[in-house]
Amino acid sequence: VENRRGELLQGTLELLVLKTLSLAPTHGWGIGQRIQQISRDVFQVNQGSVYPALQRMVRKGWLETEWRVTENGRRARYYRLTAKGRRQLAAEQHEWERSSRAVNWVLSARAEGGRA
Amino acid sequence: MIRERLKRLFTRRPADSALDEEFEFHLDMEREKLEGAGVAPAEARRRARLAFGGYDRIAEETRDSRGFTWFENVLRDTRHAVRGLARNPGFSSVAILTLAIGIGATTAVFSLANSLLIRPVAGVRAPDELVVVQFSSRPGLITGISHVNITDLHAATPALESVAGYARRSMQARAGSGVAFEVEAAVVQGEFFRVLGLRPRQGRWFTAEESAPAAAGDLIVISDRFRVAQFGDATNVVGRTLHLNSAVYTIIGVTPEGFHGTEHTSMTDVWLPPGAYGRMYHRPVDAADRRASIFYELVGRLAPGATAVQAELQLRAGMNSLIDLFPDINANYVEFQPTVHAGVGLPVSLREGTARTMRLLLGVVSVLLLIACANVANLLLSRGLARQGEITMRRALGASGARLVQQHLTEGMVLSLLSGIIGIGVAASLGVIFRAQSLLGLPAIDGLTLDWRVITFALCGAMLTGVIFTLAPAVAALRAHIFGPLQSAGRSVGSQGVRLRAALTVVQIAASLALLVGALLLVRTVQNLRGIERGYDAEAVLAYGFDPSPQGYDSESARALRRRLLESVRGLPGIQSASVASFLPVPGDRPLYRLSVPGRDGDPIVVAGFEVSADYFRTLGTRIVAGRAFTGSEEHEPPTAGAGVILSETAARELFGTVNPVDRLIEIGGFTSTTLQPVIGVAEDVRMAARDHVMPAVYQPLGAAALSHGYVLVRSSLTAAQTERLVTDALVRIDPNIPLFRAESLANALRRAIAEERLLARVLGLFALLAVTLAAIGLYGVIAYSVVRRRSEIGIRMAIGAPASEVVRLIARQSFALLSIGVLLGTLGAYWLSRSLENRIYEVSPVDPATYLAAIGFFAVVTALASAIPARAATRIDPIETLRPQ
Repeated sequence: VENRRGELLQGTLELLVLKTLSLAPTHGWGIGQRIQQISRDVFQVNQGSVYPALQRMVRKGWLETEWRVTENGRRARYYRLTAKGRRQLAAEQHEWERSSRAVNWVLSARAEGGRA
Repeated sequence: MIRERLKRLFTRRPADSALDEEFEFHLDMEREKLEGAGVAPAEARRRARLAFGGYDRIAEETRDSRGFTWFENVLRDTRHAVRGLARNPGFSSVAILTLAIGIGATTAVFSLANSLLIRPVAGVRAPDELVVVQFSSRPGLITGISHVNITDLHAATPALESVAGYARRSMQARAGSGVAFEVEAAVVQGEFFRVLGLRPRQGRWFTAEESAPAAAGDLIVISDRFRVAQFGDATNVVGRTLHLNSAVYTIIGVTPEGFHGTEHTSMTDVWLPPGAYGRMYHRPVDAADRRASIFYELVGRLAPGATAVQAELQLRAGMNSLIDLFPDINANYVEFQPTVHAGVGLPVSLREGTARTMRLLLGVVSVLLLIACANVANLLLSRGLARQGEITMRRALGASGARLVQQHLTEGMVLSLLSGIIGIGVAASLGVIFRAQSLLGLPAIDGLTLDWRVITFALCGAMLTGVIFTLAPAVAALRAHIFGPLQSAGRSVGSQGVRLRAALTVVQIAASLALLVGALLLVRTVQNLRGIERGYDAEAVLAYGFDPSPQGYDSESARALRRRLLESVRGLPGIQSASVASFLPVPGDRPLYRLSVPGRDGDPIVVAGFEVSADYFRTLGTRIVAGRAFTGSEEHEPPTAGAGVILSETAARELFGTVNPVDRLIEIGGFTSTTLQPVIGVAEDVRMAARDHVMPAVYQPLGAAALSHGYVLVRSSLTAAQTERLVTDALVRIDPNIPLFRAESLANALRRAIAEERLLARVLGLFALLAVTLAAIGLYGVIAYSVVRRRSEIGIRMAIGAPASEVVRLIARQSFALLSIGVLLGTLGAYWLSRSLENRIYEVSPVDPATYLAAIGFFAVVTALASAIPARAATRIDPIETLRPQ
């Protein structure tokens, strides 16, 4: 079961990160907090898991990073969406909606088929 | 940047401060958040870490997510491979050692080929432009050309930018009151050193005036080795003098280190200008200036863009016009048109034979390398099967096939490069064997050093083998069905791998059997050659050469010297028997005489001519079968005295049939004259060639010898060193300027004559043993593995009552199947190999059944031994254990 949750995360984590960063650039911890809030604690995974994903997205050119000083005077690595990242977010959002529509459609069709 | 990446790749916990800082920030934020919610600091810290997850694993994953270049992948795989090898020392050492043997043997042979065929002559500029011009297709006939002819020919040959002649001669040197010694010298014509592009280590070369045939010729150039040996390392020798033969020469230059002439066989230490020719031989100087004098060998440098073929055509045209102009002098060259051969180094006469031998050795050693590769591929396969689970997992996780092959290849490279480096060490130790041989009749080649060519060859060869032996396991890994091993929980194994391994083992058996047969044929050849009844006692007789002519002796004074020497050696304590002869009955050059019976028609017979003293036959242990030997009063008589001759049995039979030849007259056409002599005795036949070919011979008294040189033959009760001392002292007392040469037993001279056969037998024997060892390891691996694989089957058989003997039979059947296929293929291979050895083997058929059976029998024993251990293990399988589910 844990495995399945991880797999699910793999696909959706990127979308969630992109969405979070589209609102404001922030650091890894901030992204984690934000995702937890947005997803209402559905994805109970290690907080650290976000870092490999961030690194992957930096490599793909969706994010860029810079070291900034936080409100309380600490150095932190901030992640920001690039133009390419913005396009990717739009595309993934579109894809997500399309596929969830399809899944919903399949589920309801099945229910109808069962009755027939 | 690169360094940082390297560090990251090779250290387990890299110092990635940025990542650490980011993670620490994360943990601090989480801890502060928890503390703000009222959690105690220590607990907050613990919970923050817990929420974060495995620090190291995430750090590693993050770094991995940055992505790797191809190069970084290689480095990562390398690290992986090195760790894997270190984790598995048994596997690693067997694999590396196996390969190192294969690579080492190949490298040793390459190094030999390199030093014989490829290595350029030291100090020579642009050696590719140099050519050798030969004036005879038959060795032993005309091999040179005169100074005047060279000048005229060069004018007719624009394809040759420059030419120069050289003539190698042995000279006698003596420093101070020391013992006289022989030195190889060369008279050089034209601008020899400038044609070669040599730069003097000290001093200068001969000028054009000094090189003129009429010049005084009292100047010499010496080699650097000779300079160091005679004058000490730090000495500038320009202007120093040296005694050569009976004259004094002034040193004007020193050649670069390592240069001893343009041929690898030459060990020239002294070079003289043409004017020295007369001084060397105590004759009028004009000899060097005559068109008819024949003594230079020719090297040339091609003009830019010209080819050896062009040069040859122009030289032939030039030679033909010289023949037309001077028909009586140059008539000899009608038959022997000049030929031009590219490159200097290996003498032209040895090139073909050497290349053939090297091809054979390289072929043999490639087979050995192939066997080693098969072994390592086998090892990797069985390890690959053990790692099937890991590989399947990685594929399931999305690793691409190409990526997996890359990983395998990297592993192979690590393994093979390590083996390559160790292999160079192996080659160096094999080089010792090679050096110890006076190979192919060449004087000791100490050039078997590992230069950059050899090292490049070893490492490239290693990498190539790496690719070869990795391919099989890599392909097997890719072919493996993803779910196979996961489903069967490691119990069954793809039959693919098993068949491949069996095939590799069969190839190994076949190849090593072929090598073994080849080696046995050569060993028997050497035995047969050694066992030849030669008609004399080679082991007991020591021989010492001497030549007084360079010291100015004429034939009369030389005869007196021989007499005095013989008499003083005869009287020495410990000398049982002594004799002086003009030539030795061992392989080498000898004058040929023509014998005929006066008044009888037909061609004269051609025989080897010896001039010997009275005790010659007694010293050598050659029987006199009819008549008698020479007496002490006859031995120094000139041929005109009619002392008579002794014939060998074959000569007697060819001349007189069954009639007793004693007291009959024969006509002897010798070096200078034809004489009529009575036969006084018949001696047992003597085999003088390397093989048992009987050469008929005629013996005359020593006094008849036309040449002034000779050999002291001694049977002594002392050691060889003591005897040499005695003979040297005896000669020094007569003339301290004459050195002894070729001091050795006749047995040693015979061994030198069969050096090539001995070398081949040794090398092939060594390679065959290595091959058999590797094949045995391979066979053992396959059988042991199949026992493991069939554990359950064997367990069940034993559970239902099969006795141990049946289990053994099961294993034996498998070994026998491998053996018989291997033997079948190996016999074919051996047939092919022995056919290519046909002209090297002696008194044994290339299809000699005994040899083949011995090799096969040996292999059967090896197979039995290799299967015995796994078979024993099989009989000890506990049936209960194997049936337990895993």
